[in-house]
Amino acid sequence: MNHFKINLSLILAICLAFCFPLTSVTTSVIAQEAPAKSKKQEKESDDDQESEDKKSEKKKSTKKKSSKKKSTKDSSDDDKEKSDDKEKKDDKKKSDDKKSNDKKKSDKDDKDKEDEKDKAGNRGNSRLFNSRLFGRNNNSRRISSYSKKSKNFVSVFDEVVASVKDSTITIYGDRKQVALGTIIDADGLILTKASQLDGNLTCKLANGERIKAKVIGIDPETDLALLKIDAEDLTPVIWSEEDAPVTGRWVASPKAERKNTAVGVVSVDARAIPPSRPFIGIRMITVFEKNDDGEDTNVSIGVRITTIEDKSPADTADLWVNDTIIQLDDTPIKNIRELLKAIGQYDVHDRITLKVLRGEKEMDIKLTLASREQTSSDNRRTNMQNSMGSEPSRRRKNFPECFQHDSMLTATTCGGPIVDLSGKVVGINIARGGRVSSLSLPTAIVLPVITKMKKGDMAPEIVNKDRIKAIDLELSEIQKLLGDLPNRKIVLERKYNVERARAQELNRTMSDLKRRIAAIEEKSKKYKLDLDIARKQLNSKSKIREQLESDRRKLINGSR
Amino acid sequence: MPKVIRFIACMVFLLTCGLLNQTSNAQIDEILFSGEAPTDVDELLLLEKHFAELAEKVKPATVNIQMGGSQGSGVVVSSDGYILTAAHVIGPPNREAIITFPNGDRVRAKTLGVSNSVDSGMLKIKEDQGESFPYLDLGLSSDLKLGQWVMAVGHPGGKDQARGLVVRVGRIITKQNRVLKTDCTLVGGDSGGPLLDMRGDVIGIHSRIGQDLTENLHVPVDQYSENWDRMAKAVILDGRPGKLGIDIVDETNEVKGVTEKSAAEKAGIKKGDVIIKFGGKKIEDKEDISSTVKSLDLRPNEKITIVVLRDGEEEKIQLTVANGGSTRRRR
Repeated sequence: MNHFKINLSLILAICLAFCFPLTSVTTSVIAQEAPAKSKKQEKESDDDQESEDKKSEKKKSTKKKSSKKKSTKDSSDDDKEKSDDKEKKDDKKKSDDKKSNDKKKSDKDDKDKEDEKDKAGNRGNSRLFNSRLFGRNNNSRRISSYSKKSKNFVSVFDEVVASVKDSTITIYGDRKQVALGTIIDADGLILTKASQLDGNLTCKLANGERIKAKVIGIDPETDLALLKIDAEDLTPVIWSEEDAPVTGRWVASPKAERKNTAVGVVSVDARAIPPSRPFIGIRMITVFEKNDDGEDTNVSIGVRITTIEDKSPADTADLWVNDTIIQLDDTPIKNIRELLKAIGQYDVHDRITLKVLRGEKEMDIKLTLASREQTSSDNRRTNMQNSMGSEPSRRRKNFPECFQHDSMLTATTCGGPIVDLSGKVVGINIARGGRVSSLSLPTAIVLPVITKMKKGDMAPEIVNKDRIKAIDLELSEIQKLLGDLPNRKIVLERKYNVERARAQELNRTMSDLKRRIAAIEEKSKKYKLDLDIARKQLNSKSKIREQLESDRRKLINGSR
Repeated sequence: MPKVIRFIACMVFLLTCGLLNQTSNAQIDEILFSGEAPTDVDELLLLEKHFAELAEKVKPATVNIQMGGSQGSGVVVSSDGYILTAAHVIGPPNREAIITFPNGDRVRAKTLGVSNSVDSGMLKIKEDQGESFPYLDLGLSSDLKLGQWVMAVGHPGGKDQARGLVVRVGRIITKQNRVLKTDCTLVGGDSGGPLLDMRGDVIGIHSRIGQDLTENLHVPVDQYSENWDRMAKAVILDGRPGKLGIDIVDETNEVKGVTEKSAAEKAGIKKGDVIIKFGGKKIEDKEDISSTVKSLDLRPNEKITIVVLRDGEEEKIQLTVANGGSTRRRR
């Protein structure tokens, strides 16, 4: 036994050593659009933290080795996730005097922290939002026995979820977990979250058996899907007949938090979840008609794109900066307000056609609207925070009615049942909304949808008929275009060659003419020279003549 | 005789009821405040009943704070409208904020003192905006036990009138002088909102988060209570030391010069004044005034009364301490 204990503390030391790079945990100020901490500052404090962690860690591990009893006690908490089977043994050992142990441990923790506090408090007081104080992985892991995630707390809910544990299954798409599922019928009907389904679907039952699944119903409004698996004698859930649980009530979702029960309380009473605002990802200015002098009149004629956000729908659709949008589907667009209003009429994921002016040319550009939350850089900070410690669902908006709770679900643990303390199913987890929010459809909303889907007229190919058709249409257009393009290329090449030949011919003629012009110019220069000489001669001769004539006149008059 | 028996039976019944009631109260207190995890579903039922009642109690005093384009949360802690929030929500003192109550009422408030290093901040609803407001009492964060149940309320993601306030429940995971950590998940917009114990007393203010869902950090409320007076006077607790702008070179405590545009000049202190009282403390002849000034540890925005002797007359002067870096030395 002694041997085992030493080993354990060694393993612990190794595990902690691997934790060091993780200790530079980002802490984030949780204001809406508050000024961000400068990068340099962040780095400084992180570095600081790491080195200090190492120091204090060394101190601790020596402490642990010196007192074996203590170290086993600590490690049972520290190593929670790392070494499951060892933990079980420890738990067993612990269970007898758990309470007194806990108390002792917390006393010791207090003392440890006092030490650290003294050390940390004196240095860098002025540093804003110092992550050094909080990022201690070892610390947080040890004390996580106080959190709602801790095993001994969650185990209180074991009897609450006992009735639904076998009714909660895992759904895989191409071997990756995509969602949880809720067995609603002994003969293999399973409810889950539609937008998570992707790839070849299989269901893993409580007994470990994996069975292929087929989607037989989809309800776009609630994002619920009905699957059919080939199985019998399954345990269906027991639905609650009460109203949706109100704020403050405990709720539990089996198999959601690392295959354990995720526990939380209702944060907001049931309400409609509004759709997210669709957007295309551009900045723009209104364009005005010009008068004869080229000045703007006050008649607006469209919206010119000035910036395109990276990876936004506009970017993907190949809109260009300086394109002028003049129409959205059938709605003429004269100014920014009209464009925003027109986009507001659509939903996220809708496909629209923009008519734009690119230079003189008018062209149609198709694009798929996205939600601002998903793509906008404006919301990067909020996005970042919302995905800290949790992975939000892609579809997390636009539900007819949901109650919100603080259970720690992820995108791939939605679709399962959620129970109240009676152990009856009060809803289906339908979305992870972000760090603080999980959304569940109340039973009263779910049951009518099941009835509708069971009828069979909500099969995916029927429900998505219009959208599939629209995409098919567009695909065939593109296909046609692709088919035409090689021909057009040949025609254009031919035309190009002809024109090039003509251009060459003209070029030749032109150089010939140039030569002739040069020769003529040469000749004319020579003539000009001769002409000058002749002109000079004429000049001097006429002067001589004048002289002679004058002499002659004088002689005749005899006045000489 | 039967009457007596009936009476006795009645008394016994009432007594038992009282006792039972007492034990169940003690039981609730044990669950709510001991820091121990509940052990069975009955205890969970007691807890959730309490959570639901508590949520309704604390919501009316939890507000949304809007500062220009950004917003956060806050909590009213006095009927005349003092509000606690996080420093990074409000920024420097003496700015205007719009406060929105859960029922939609909007009032204007002025930002007061902050400590940027612990992220504590205070506001006060302006005098003309109303008489009394719903408020919560302050608890004692130093008394908190690890594992103790707490409730977080706020506006995650910003104000959403249709949704309203969002309630989260969790436990104290670590407790330090300058920070509390709980597993009440927080996100942008929650900043400044209250962390409450199971009495509904404010024991912390939401500040920041770490990567893990159990790393949600709050400013302990003692950071506010201990610095209440100075925060209420709009002092930046961890600002650079303030500046007065008075030159005193010898023990006569006569002002030898006043820095241009300094706090002293603005307050009307003149060269030649002899300081006889500083911040309520009498300055004896030949006493070193600088030690008195040092002991007060004045910060920008702090107001202080100085009594000087000018032309044989005593004069009372109100001085507001200036920012350390902003005044220019006299040439």
